[in-house]
Amino acid sequence: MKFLRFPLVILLALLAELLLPRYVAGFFRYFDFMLIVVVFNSVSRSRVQSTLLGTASGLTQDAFTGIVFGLNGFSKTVVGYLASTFYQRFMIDTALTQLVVLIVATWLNEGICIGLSLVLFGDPPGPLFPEMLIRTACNGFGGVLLMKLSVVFFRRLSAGRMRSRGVSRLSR
Amino acid sequence: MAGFIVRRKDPLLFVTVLVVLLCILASQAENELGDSLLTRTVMQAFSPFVRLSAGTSQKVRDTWFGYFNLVDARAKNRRTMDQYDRQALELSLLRERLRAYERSEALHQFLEGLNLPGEEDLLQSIHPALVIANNHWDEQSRILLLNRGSSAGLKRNMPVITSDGVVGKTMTCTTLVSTVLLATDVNSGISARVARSRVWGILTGGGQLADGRPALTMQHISSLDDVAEGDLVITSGLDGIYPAGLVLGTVVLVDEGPGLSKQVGVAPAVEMSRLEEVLVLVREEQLPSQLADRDSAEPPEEDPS
Repeated sequence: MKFLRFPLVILLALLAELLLPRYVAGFFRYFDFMLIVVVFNSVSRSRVQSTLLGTASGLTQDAFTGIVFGLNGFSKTVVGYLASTFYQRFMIDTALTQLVVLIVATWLNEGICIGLSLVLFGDPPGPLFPEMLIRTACNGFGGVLLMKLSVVFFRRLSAGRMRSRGVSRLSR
Repeated sequence: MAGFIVRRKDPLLFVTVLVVLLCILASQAENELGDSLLTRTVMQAFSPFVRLSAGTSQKVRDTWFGYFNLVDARAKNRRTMDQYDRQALELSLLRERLRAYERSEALHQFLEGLNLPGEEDLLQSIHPALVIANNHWDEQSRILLLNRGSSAGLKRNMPVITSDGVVGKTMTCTTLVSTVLLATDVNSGISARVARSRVWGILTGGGQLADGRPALTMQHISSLDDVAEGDLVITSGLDGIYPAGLVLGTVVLVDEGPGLSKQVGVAPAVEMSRLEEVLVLVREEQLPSQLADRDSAEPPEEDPS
């Protein structure tokens, strides 16, 4: 079932990105859930996995957001590889580190997108500066919050599994 | 070479992916954007989930907000109904006020055109009054209660009229309210005259028309007197209470009475059951003899007809 994790994570991020702004609240459009997923996974994954996850999530995002196909794929591949390299080198996983990494990742992602658009198409689709700030804040703080919540969730999930295994062994 | 690739597999993969992506991007830079095989493939892979989730989200959203809208709709409906009730009441009051205005306008026009021969000096003022109780249906005592009393200058035996004709006369006047003896009461007696033939008689109440409405009876009418159905009956002014010329009613029945008399039924000009505003003719000078009880007026010595 491990091979299903990637598509599942990408699907969840895609659904969050497509559905939350429409059905829950408009400000969710400032969140880049794919980017958060890529950065979050790069903490515990190898560089190859992070790179491939970045590519897959970016391409999926491109396919559904209607912008140039491969633009986000390229930028998120870079983000995934660099974030994974950073976490492997420094082994620091605090909230502050996550915040900084997410902020840098946001600016890097947008910078690559704007740069590629300029070079290849001469038409930068980049956001305005105030919107960029909001997006940075949303990705940064929202990403840290999501990471903490998911850590708590998976910890409880794994604890529950262990308990159930222990009980089944005793009952035998 | 193989060892190099194994050692550097991560950067090599990274660079390979980037090169592939750059190729994809470069191909789009030359061709038309939007519809590539890769885009379609990725969309095809994820679109069932997206569509399913969007449909579910839409249903959840519709159910959720539909519920709140329903709650809000109930509250809004209640508010609208309250507002409607208030406005209906307001409209009803305004319509009633308009009707009152129309009635007062009719009274005003009636007063402007009122011509009372020989009584101008006696006619000091006319007081409008509201009917606050109406006992017209009681056969024993047909009276009205007015919202004006002696404080407004009302006294006993003052004529009470409307634009249609005579209502009756004041009976008991307290400081704030007065009672009016209706012309249709059995104890009422008004000196009257047939307008066309000038035949004189006493108009008393207590009768009843074929349709059940109270009627007046004109008494002391000889069988030789010229009275016909449809004749207008007016006050003669001989009783000292009512000025001459006020409309009392219309002759609706002429029949042979006992002996040499005629039985004459008169339909009152005023619909007593619908009275709301009346006018009281307040006179400055009234002779004590005229103020005496004249509930049943006596015929004059000399018949003016």
